[in-house]
Amino acid sequence: MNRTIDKGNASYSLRIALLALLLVLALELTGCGGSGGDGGEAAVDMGTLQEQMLTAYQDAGDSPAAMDTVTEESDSPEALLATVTDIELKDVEHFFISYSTEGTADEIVVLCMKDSNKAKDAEESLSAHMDSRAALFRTYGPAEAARIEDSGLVFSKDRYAVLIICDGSDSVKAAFEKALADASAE
Amino acid sequence: MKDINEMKETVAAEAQQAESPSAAVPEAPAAETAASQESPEAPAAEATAPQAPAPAPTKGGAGKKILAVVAGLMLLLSTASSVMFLMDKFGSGEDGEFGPTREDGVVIADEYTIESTLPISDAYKSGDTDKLDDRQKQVLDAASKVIDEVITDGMSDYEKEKAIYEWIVKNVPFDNGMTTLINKTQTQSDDQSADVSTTETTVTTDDDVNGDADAGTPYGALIKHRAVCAGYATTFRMFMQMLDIECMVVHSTDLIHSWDLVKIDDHWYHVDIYSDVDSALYGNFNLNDEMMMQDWDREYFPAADSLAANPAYKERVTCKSVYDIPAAIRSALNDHKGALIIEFEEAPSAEDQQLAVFMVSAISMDLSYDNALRASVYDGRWINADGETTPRLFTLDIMYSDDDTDSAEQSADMFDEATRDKATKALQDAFGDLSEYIRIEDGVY
Repeated sequence: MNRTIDKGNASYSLRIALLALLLVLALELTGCGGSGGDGGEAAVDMGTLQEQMLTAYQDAGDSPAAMDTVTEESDSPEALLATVTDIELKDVEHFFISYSTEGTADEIVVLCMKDSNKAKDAEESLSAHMDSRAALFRTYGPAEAARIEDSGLVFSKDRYAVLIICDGSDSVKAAFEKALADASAE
Repeated sequence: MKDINEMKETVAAEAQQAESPSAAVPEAPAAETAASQESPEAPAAEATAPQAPAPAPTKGGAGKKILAVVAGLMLLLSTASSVMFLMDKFGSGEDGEFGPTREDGVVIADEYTIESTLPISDAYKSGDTDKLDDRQKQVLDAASKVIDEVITDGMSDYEKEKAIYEWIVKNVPFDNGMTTLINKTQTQSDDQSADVSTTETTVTTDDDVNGDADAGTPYGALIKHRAVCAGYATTFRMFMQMLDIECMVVHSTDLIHSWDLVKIDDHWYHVDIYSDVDSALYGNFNLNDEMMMQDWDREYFPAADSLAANPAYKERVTCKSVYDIPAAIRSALNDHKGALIIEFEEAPSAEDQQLAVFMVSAISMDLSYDNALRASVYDGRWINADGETTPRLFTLDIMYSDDDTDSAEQSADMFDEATRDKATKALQDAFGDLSEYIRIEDGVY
């Protein structure tokens, strides 16, 4: 009897362990660029997301600026991330920063946080960055400062914090949301 | 206010100490000495320890350890406070709330360091270039050629200043590195490799690429032909120093902009060449404090309290009524002036002053750049004449969009009047309820 009970306990424990393992694996896969999210959201491949948002950017404005992009795989990612946020790299799963090389305000930033609870902090940080850029442009290019005030967007969704500064920023935001929706549908 | 030479000597000494770790170090041993002067108390304590009532040998050992730890902590605290004192005193490239203001050694926009230009100007005056490095020699050579080109015997300080200003505005292209989010130097790897790990693009190291940290120096301005504000400011100061005209580089309290203060005929004036490049001449040339729309440390930098050497003031127009202002502005636009000062015999009423500002705003809003003059006006404001306390000078700035040789082809003048009227009617029929101004006439579209 005892042995049966022990055996049953062992089987139960094994199932619990397997479930726990599956849960851990599932959580691992929910990271940005994986197949799910910690809040149940689907994760999007960051390369795809970047491509779709930049395509929307190119299509949105009359004269889009030439853009460079850096990510966590670039040299000195801490320093690059620090140009837009005070969020530490250790808290960020992936990021990309696309910025105008023509001295204009155009900028698209997506931070995918490891913990969705920190997405709001990241959003606030990006908002502060946008204010700082507007202040800079008030000195160096009032027209660009006006573009930031008119079309700058900062928002967070799931584990993502996003900044978009460009003409037609709404359509770039729509591209971001569509990419997330498409990932959820898959 | 400090005497300028005394001030510069102090600043130079402070900057040298702040920039040279070896210069700052002597304070540290002093701190250590102070700490070590306290440390003899430890042995003294050790010596008295045996006299303590029945101390257990092991307890005496523990006492020594505690005393050693305490002495160590005191030493650390003393050293740390000394280091903090030094950082506070000599700063770390910041100012305002972070430390005392200084002229050189200040970092603008986290990227461009304002460096002393005295070695080059001193070498120019003495003819001794032995102490210059190769870059400085190149700058000296280029600057000497400019002086030979634009400065002639018998020129006044004002004429020399104006000649150098004009040469820089016309010959040193603007670098957009100041507003580019991530500059080239930030994406270069340590080995200065041309390739960086960006997902889509490659950043090159060509000299003519924007975002080079040299753009904040005379080397960037004169050799690489690119400058940001700090590049224009330091280059202009270097020229002024070469010509024995007093000049300082000023920086904004938020450390995102820099420009010059130059002394002409015993008065200081603000010169912001960066803001005049790609714009109109003299818009930011020889301004007084009231006209300079920036925040800076007015306790540290000398006051600019005169308009005598301001070109717009020299060519000011006189109006009797604020209703004459639009015509005066139109005339200035036709003459392609970069700044306009209108003088009234008496200070207008408060209401008239407000009306003048509103008229400039109206012109600015409705004119924009979409007009045959490709110009816009802004920053209309009232200022005091020298030594007066009631404003009777009205000043405004004028910006012109880039000259575009194709613009003539885009002018509606290419259509005959009948065609323009017909198009205007079509526009008015469709949008006239929203704007009576929508029409095709002699503007640029």
